[in-house]
Amino acid sequence: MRRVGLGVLFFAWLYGVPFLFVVGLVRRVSSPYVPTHAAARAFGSTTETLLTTAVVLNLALPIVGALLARLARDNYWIRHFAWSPAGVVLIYLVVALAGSLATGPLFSWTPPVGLGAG
Amino acid sequence: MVADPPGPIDPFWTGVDLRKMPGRVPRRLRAHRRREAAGNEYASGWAGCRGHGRFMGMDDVDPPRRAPFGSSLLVAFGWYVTVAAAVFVGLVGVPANPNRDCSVIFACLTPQEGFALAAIVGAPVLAAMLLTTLAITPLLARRVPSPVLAGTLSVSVTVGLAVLAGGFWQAAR
Repeated sequence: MRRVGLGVLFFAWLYGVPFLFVVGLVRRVSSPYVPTHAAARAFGSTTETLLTTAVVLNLALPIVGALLARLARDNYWIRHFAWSPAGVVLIYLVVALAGSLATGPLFSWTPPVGLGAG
Repeated sequence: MVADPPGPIDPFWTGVDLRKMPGRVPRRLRAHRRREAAGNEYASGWAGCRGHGRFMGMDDVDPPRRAPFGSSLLVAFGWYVTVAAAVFVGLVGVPANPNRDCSVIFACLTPQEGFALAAIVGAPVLAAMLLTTLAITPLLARRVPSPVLAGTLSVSVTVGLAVLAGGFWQAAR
């Protein structure tokens, strides 16, 4: 049971963080149909929440998982969470790369009010 | 031979050495034996006690040297599913102009239609990537002890190869 819980936590980090990041990135590079300022702000804030959640969970989940695995003395998941910082750094590097490639800020971005491209 | 006086070894003078009875060994004696078995350098402090072994996995059976192939493949395919699902969810969340010009072909695809089209057009590429992953995963699983690492690495190598192949294809055109 403990093993299953720790596994869920680990895969929530492994797949969940990239999932949130990709969803946020797709929204960030899209040109949405936002006819009003309020709609543009709402779209931008949802995108920002997704990206921020991904960045925060990327740090929080491995730390919580490592602590819980140590408490549960589950050597299998202790080993996995001990190696997860490598993945954390890798994800942060990808986020930094995306931020440097983006025109304008990656976070706290509001799409221009308009009809959108598609 | 004179029997031992009553003590932790033979408290009731039964002549039976409790140390030799596997099922009835007192906890402290078991811990002492473990510490002895751990060798002199580790014979003090917490060494030999549960959770304080020399290596992290000392209490348990030895970890497998190779990752299971099935789990590694599941982790690898999990990456494909995750990325596809993320792109789909991202596209669904983008509102489209209801009054846009739909006279041009493929101008007004819903995310579902767009995904179906991409799946048909990109089927050869996707199939090649999946087969590459299928071929690389057992090679990596033999060398890497963790299925998570083996599956993730095999997808990374596949993506790297796909990017390389795409670059060559672009250059050759």
